[in-house]
Order: sequence, then structure tokens, then C-alpha cells
Amino acid sequence: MSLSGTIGINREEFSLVVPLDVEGGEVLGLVGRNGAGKTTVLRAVAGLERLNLGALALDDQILDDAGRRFVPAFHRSVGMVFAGGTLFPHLDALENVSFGVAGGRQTKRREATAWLERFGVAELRHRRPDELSRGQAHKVALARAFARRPRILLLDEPTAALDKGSRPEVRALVAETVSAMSTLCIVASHDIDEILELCSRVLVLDEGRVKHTGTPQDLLASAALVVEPNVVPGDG
Amino acid sequence: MRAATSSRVPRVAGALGLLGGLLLVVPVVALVARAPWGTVLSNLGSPAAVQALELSGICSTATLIISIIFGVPLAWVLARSTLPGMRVLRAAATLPMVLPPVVGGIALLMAFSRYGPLGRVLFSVFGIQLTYSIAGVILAETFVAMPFLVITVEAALGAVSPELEEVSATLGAGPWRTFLSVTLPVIGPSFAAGCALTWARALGEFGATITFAGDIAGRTQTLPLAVYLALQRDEGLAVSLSIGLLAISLAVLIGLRGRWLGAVRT
Repeated sequence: MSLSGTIGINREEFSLVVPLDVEGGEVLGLVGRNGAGKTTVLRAVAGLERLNLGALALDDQILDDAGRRFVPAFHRSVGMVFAGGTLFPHLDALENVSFGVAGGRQTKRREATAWLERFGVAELRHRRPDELSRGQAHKVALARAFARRPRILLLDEPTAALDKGSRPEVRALVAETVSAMSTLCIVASHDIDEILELCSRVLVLDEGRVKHTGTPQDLLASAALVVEPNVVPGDG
Repeated sequence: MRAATSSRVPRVAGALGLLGGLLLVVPVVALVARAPWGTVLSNLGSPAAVQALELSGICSTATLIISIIFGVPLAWVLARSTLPGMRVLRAAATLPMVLPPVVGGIALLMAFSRYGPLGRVLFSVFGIQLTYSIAGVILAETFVAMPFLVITVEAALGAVSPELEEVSATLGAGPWRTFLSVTLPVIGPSFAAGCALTWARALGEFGATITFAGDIAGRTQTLPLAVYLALQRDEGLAVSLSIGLLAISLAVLIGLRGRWLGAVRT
């Protein structure tokens, strides 16, 4: 499985041209300042943003050719975790996670419970989002994206909402699950530790263009990995 | 918090506000005080009153159902569509709220009477005559009341984070499933409030109904029409029927506050 093509988006205030080539089982990191285009790339892959230029294909299926062909988000097998988590406020944790699971009621509940257990929040399954801490809600959001068993997993600042203490554990869990599912994964992050631990390859974005590419270690050595760990995530 | 707020209101404003409150409350108190309580129940139980009450219940409920079927999609279009002309459509959709109902009734007559462009087709093709019929009452009430649902739902939709709908899409839900299982539940309290307002407005509708559907006992004479008619010959009956309508309105208000406004914490 491979995702390949060029994401081209032209807007009045912003232009972005990012070639992508990601294989199944690979975790690609997107780093760069706020406004560099990280989130826009994720949104375009998810089908929440249409291309103006270029084309994007998953294996031989064209997802978007900047023209006639466009596969909408709900027909792409994606799982996306937004920077803010964004749980459905009217559903409890279990219902949130089972929302995207295919199958009957029993299957949905069983799968969802298993994923909540995996992320260590099963005992909170009957709580509504307003009864969860930010960190807990984010774990539920991660579980929800994984539970769908997507072919493409898109993580926007996957551990930024967690307290520092629980980040390594959740990162390890994400890394392990991604490799077990051999899903194709793209991570946008400000967090250098997160990039080092999760990603096998990194694109450094700047103003909608790819400035550098390489392994996280290469880029760290060449000081090209310009990250700002303390910047508030969410609008990259 | 309440004390802090009231301490900031100037005295003059407080006095004017109190007078405003009295203006709204006194007539209702007078209605209750002057009701012939000995005969209210028997008046409300009289065949004519029961008939009018039934008709009102049927018509206002049908109005609510029709308003949901057509009004919610209209609100959806107004809130989300980026096509040109939305501002004009919104103005048109809310016009009946500010239009005198009797003018609405005349407008409906122009369109749907047997000599109007739509009424002529309905009559000649399907044999349907809307004027002076229950369907006419429902049409008149829908014309006047549906905008309340449309603007309430549209405002609520505008406040829903687009990210919620996007998450739903990435979880495989198409636009309809997203709307029904994410958007609509999230705006649930506003939707319920809009339904209650629409139903209550339809229940009280007078001007458009009497103009378009007439005042035929047992067919188009809803409760407000019956009240007006009763006032000409039997004030006690009119007041009794009014007490009935007041009770229904109070029930709606209490239901709104207790059940819907406090039910969902978002």
C-alpha cells in the first residue's frame, strides 16, 4: 500500500505544494512552524480539503486529481486525530469510539471497549467528553481513530494535549499499534521527541514548501529540524 | 452572580424594567382573576370547545411535522450553503415572522385559492381545494410558524464547530448520517426549543388562518377563532377558552425550561 502524489493548494493567502510518497507501515513526520502547512497536508489527505493542483492516489485509486475526481472523506479509509481531539459532546467515550467501527451493535461495543482498554481509559467509557480531562479525552480520540482500522492514519499533534508524564507511554502505544496494523501514518508535530520516536522519515515544511527531507536523526544532526516545542499546536 | 448583575443596573432602568414586566404580567393575571372558575371546566368540555381544541391540536401538530420535514433542510441549506442568493433566501424565509398574519393569509389566497396559479393546478389536476379546508388551516399555520423553526435551527447550526462534522466524515459517516447522528443531537436543545415555539405559534395562529381558511365550525375553526367568535356573544365562554390556551402555553414554557434548556450540557 502506498500513498503518493503531490498536494497542491492555492488560496489567496496561502499556497502549498508538497510531494508525498508514503508506504504502508511507514510513519512520515511533518514538522515546521505554525502556518507552514502541516495540518493542511493532513486535511487534504483526509479529504477535508480539495486540491487545486497535483493529484493524490492510494495505490492505484485516485483520491483527488484537482479536477473531476474527488473521493470525499467519508469514502476514504482514514482515521484522523485533530489537534483538539474533538470528541462528539453528546456521546459518551464508548459511543464516540464505536461511531466509526463497522458491524453490528455488539461488535461495535466490543471493539470500542478493547480500544479504550488499550489506551487505558476503559473505566471512563460511560463518561461524556465534558467529564473527561483534556488528556483523557485525547486518548479517547486516539482510540476512536484506531478503532476504525483505517488504511491511512493522520495524527495532528498526537500527544500535545497530554501531560508530559504520560506522553512517552502514549507515544510508545501509538508506535506499537501503527506497526502492528501496518497502517500508513502521517504525523504533524512540534515535539522533537515525538518525531524521533514515531517517525521513520520527516518532511520539514516552510511556507507550504518542503525545505528538507530525511530521517529524524539526519535532520537533527544537520540542524535542519527546526521545531518549536513550546508553540501552541493546532493551526499548522 | 445575580446580585452582582442587578447592582450594576441603574435605578431608572430598573423601574422601567419593572413597569415593562408588569405590562406583560397584568393582563394575564386579569384573565385568570376574571375567569368564571365555576364554569371554566364545563365550558372547556362543551362540544364546540372540544371540537375546536381537537382541530387546533391536529393542525398545530401537523404544522410542526411539516415544518420539521421542510424547515430543517431549509435551515441546513441557509447555514451551510455557499451558493449565491442565500441572503435573499434567508430574508424570504423569515419574512412571515414580521409580516402581519392577515397579509400572509391574503398572499396565500393569491397563490392557493382556486383562482391562484398553484391553487388552480391543485384543483384542476388533483381536485384539491385548500381554501376553507383543514389542509388550508395547516398551510396557513405552516406559513406563519415554520420560520421560527428555521431561524432557531439555522442559528444553532451556525454555532456547531465544523470540526465535529469533519471528524464524523473521517469516521466514514456521509452527510446524512453526520447530520442526523452528530449535528442534530448537538443542536438538540435549540431544535427542541424551535419545535416548541413553532408548535405554540401554530396553535395561536389567527390572522392568516381566518383569512385563508375561513371560520367554519368543525372544519377550520381552531381554538383562537372560536375564542374570537365566542367573545361576540358569551364573554364567559371566551375567557374559559382563553384559560385553556393559557394553560397549554404555560405547559410549553415549563417544558422548555425544565426538560430542554437544562437537559444537555454542551
